[in-house]
Amino acid sequence: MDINWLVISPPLVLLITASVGVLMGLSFRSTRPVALLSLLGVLVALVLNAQLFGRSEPLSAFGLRYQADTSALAFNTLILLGTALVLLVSFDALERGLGGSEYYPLMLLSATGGMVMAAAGDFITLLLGLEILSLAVYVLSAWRPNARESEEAGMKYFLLGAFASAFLIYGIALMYGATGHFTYARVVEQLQAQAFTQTALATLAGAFILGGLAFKAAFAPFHQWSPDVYTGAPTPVTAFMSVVVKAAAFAALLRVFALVYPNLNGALTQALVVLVALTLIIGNLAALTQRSVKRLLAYSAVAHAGYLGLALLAADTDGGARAVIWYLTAYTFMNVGAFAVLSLLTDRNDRGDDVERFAGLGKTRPYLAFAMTLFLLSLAGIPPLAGFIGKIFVFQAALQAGYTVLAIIAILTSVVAAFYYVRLISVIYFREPEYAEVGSKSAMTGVAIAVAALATVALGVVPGWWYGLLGVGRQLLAGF
Amino acid sequence: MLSFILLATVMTVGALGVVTLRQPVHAALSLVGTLLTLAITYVTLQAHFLAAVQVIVYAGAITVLFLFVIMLLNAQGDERAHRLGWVKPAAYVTGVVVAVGLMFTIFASPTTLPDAATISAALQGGNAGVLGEVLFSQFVLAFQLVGVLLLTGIVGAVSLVERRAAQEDREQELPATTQRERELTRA
Repeated sequence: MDINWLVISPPLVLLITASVGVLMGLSFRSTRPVALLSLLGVLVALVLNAQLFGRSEPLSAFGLRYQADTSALAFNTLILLGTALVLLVSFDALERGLGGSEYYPLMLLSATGGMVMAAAGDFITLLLGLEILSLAVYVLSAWRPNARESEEAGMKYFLLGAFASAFLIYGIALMYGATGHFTYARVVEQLQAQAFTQTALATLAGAFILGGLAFKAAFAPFHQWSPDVYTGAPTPVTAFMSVVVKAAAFAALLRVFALVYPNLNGALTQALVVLVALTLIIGNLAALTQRSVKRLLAYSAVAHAGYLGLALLAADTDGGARAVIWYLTAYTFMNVGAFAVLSLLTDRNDRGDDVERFAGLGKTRPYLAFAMTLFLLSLAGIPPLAGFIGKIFVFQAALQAGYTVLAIIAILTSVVAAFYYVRLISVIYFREPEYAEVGSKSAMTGVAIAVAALATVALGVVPGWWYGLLGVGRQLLAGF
Repeated sequence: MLSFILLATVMTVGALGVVTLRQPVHAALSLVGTLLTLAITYVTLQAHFLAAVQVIVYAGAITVLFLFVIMLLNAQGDERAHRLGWVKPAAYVTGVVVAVGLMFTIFASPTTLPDAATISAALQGGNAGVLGEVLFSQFVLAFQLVGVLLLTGIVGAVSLVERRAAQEDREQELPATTQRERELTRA
């Protein structure tokens, strides 16, 4: 068994930082030392991850069970960047009244799970990564003190998550029953073999695995949990869920869809087509009627899962896979940015996220208002921001793969989406302030917002750099 | 064969006891009986390691958990509490479907099992060493990840409980006015 320490070093650094953080948290009253340590750990992991990019030799560990191909490295970069931004947003929010220094180690553990999931080369590793990722997020969702809805969020997410995991485990077991292997390489080998007879079993397995992962990615109709959990969880945790959990889920989906599903029954691809169409329609229409900004962003996150799913359908082409990663990059920055702004407007106990909080923000806090406008416009897909370019890549990939109808649905629904984003912007600039003094100030959150805003603009203006980087080195998704 | 019939009878009686007994503690103890008999069946099949795991994990840890929950909830028999009307028919239907499915797999497509010699050769005497070797070579990453998962679970559980305890302390220390304020904001 090959243990390639260099390849597994980024998640390992996070794991070590988390362990040290747990112990360190015991000896400080403030949560800040652990926060700074966590930030340092994430940055070190980011550097270690970045230096793996573009190497000519195939990078894997544990005999193809951990694969650091370009896709995994790109997703891990996103997970780490997302985690770093959320840590910055949490820095003052936690001191303001959320408390509990175990918050940071849990977040790092969750990110570790996400990174393992993105690089998983077999179903067992995928499942364990997913469980580590989820378990920590269940706890973090219930982190707000004295808040019923936060407890509800944690409980709801936990129960439904366990249900989804059961689906996934059942699917994996059936797949093992059909092929006798866990690693994608061997499973695909078996599926392609002439003598393979268990087609029905493998198809059923594929359906269960799709169901389990669709829950994590919040595809409709598996999205029911997301509005409640997003609303109940502390705002930084909501940001974490919407970017890191989503990135990990799509990393897993991308790999499975590009490698395993082309060898399964075509009905499964059709099932994903239906899921994506439902997600696009339900997500965008439900967002129209929301009064709470967190719920609005939750439904918007569901809708964005639909656009990502559209690119996922073209996963076995290079353009489709690149589009998924590129879109997620843009989504990570603009979404964390929007949640970061929101986290500055809520109360001490992270309560209060109705649209009226944003009224008159243009006058009272012009910089914040400007940043929020930028993120919302990017989420709506207005040129020349990152969200627009992401949508272009996605639509292009979908059209090339022949999903014309679905692409038209996506374009129509994104017009609907523009309506609810722009309505919030109009509240920011054209309504009188309704709250005497809104929210709080935080330098660290300011840094996160600035980074996210710069990245949103930069990705939109110079989209080619990151897109090109995805094509460096060996192929995007490691074949075997 | 005789030993199997004996064990199977005890196991079935135990399983029926789990479903029919009114007192939760009795049902749990009946479950222990079933699980232990299953462990003995594993021994007769030469799967010693599996038998040991069965005793430690199921008869030991899981039953203790059951008893803990019964104790904590102070459950007193069947309280005929609020029940959903559709549960009972649904349970019957599920049971019948599963039974038919099992019968179908057993009788409709009978596969001849390999003989005893082949099975015990495959089990290698139920050797824990073989299992350990697979676990620590082929599945070493999964093994380590399970460790990380357990760590996450422990840190999460402890931090949630500890925070709640700390909160209750703080609430008691608070002066009356802030307590009142708190209630207002909560309302």
